Parts: sequence; structure tokens; C-alpha cells
Amino acid sequence: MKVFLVFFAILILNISFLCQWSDMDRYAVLQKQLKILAEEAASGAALLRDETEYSFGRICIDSASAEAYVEHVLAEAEAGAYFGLSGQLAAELILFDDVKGYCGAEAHGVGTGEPAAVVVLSYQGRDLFRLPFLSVTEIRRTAVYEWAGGLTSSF
Amino acid sequence: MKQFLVLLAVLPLLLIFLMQFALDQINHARIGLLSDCVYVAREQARQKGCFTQQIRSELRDNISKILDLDPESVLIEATDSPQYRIKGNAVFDGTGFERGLIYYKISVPMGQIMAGPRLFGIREEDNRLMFTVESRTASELLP
Repeated sequence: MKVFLVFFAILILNISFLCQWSDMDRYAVLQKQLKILAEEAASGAALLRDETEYSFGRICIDSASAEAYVEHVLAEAEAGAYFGLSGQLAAELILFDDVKGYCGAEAHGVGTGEPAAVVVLSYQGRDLFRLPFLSVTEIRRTAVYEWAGGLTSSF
Repeated sequence: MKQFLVLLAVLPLLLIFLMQFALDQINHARIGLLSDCVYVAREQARQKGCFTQQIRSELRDNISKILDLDPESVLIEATDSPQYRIKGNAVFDGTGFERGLIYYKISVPMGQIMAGPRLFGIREEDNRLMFTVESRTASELLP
């Protein structure tokens, strides 16, 4: 009986450890995928330049198109394998350019005169850890894509 | 003698956990490396407007070298004709984003999912992980 109890205790310990470890791996993968997704959304949104403003010598990111692009990226991601099963994605898009200004840009590491798109993505879903020791229901990652050099950029 | 027999029965079960832990670590590391390779290829494709033959062959070589795989086992399905960057004002003209996006799907065999499959009666073909990275990226190529 003693041997059985010791075996059973080790078994439970092993199962808990394996479970926690695989959840941690999944958490790390989700963090990385969310960062890739945020970069994709920010880089795509930053490309959507307003041509009329550009003709006046100003770089302006078209807000409506940028928001539509971010929504498009999120909709595709939610239909994919990582984020669609057990949670929801939300995005916050912040644009800095020659028309909207650069107020608060420093906080995101963006210099004045360098148009940029900042995308803050958050993923909310059920607890990523199955065991009770840890509880994570939200992941948040940010990506910034800027036109370094502004109008002098070769972008 | 009795305790020795119990140990013989129990030891394989406990060893499976150690092997599974090691296998999970290997698979996780390999997925991370694959993700890095695809990321580099994706950034190159953005500049070129599509996955050119050169980008594909470099990606295939990198994956096969880093993950120690047969290059033929790396499956690449991606846009191979140049896509051009879309202008902000042109998004709502009815064509949407699709024409400015580069599609890619890279599938790579990752090896076993569970350690000791024979002990659990899992067939070898059911225990293989084929990892796929599938997404789209915006082209930066100007017309």
C-alpha cells in the first residue's frame, strides 16, 4: 500500500508538472503569435498613405483604411488556429503623422516627423492555465511601424 | 523481490513523463525556430511583392538546415506573382485588401507528439505533428 501511495503521489506530481509546462509553452507561443499579428497589423496600416495629403508634401496615414485593415487582419486571425477557438481579439490603433500630429509619440518610441502606426492588440479568453496555481486570461502586445526619416524615407 | 517487481512495473510509466517533457521542449524549440525562419522570409517577400523562387529556396534550405529535415518535406504554398502596395484611398474602391496581400502557407513535419506511443497503442502515423504557418502579409512593392 505504501508503495502504491508513493507511486500515486509521484504520478500526480508528474501530471501536474507536465500540464503546467505545456500550458506555459502554449502561453509563450500565443505571446509570440500575438506580437507577429500586431506587427503585421501595424506595418500594413502604416502603408495606407493618404495620396491627397502626400501631394501637398505631407505624410498622412488614412485612418479609415488603416482601421479597416486592422479589422481585416483580426478577422483572419480569429478564423485561424491560434486565436479563434477560445477567445476574442481586440485592437487599438494609434496613428502619428504630419496631419494628426505627434502628441504623445515619444511614449511609443516614435520621433517627431516620423509617421507611425501603433497597434495594441489584446487577446481575452478563458484561463490559459488549466491548473489553479496561475491564471492568465488576457495577453497584450504592442507593435510600432514607422516611416523612419519621414518624407526623406526611401519607403 | 516484490518491491523489485513493482519497480519494474512502475518505472516505465514514470519514465514516459520525463520523455514527454523532453519531447515537448524539443517540439516547442523547433516551432520557435520555424517561426523565425518564416518571419525572415515574410519580410523579404514584403519587399519583393511575393515569395520569389529565391526566397522559397532560401526558406526551404534554412528550415531543412536548422531543423535537420529533408528539404523536400518542407511544403511551401505562397503567392508567386508580384502583388503591389495598395494606396490608402484605394481600399474602399471595391477591390478590398486582397490584391495587396501576399499569402503564404508553410508546412513542416515536426516529429512525434507523444513519447512512448507503443505503450499507449498509438500508431506511428497518428503520432506525427505537421506544423503549419499560414497567414497573409501586406506587400510593400511599389508599381
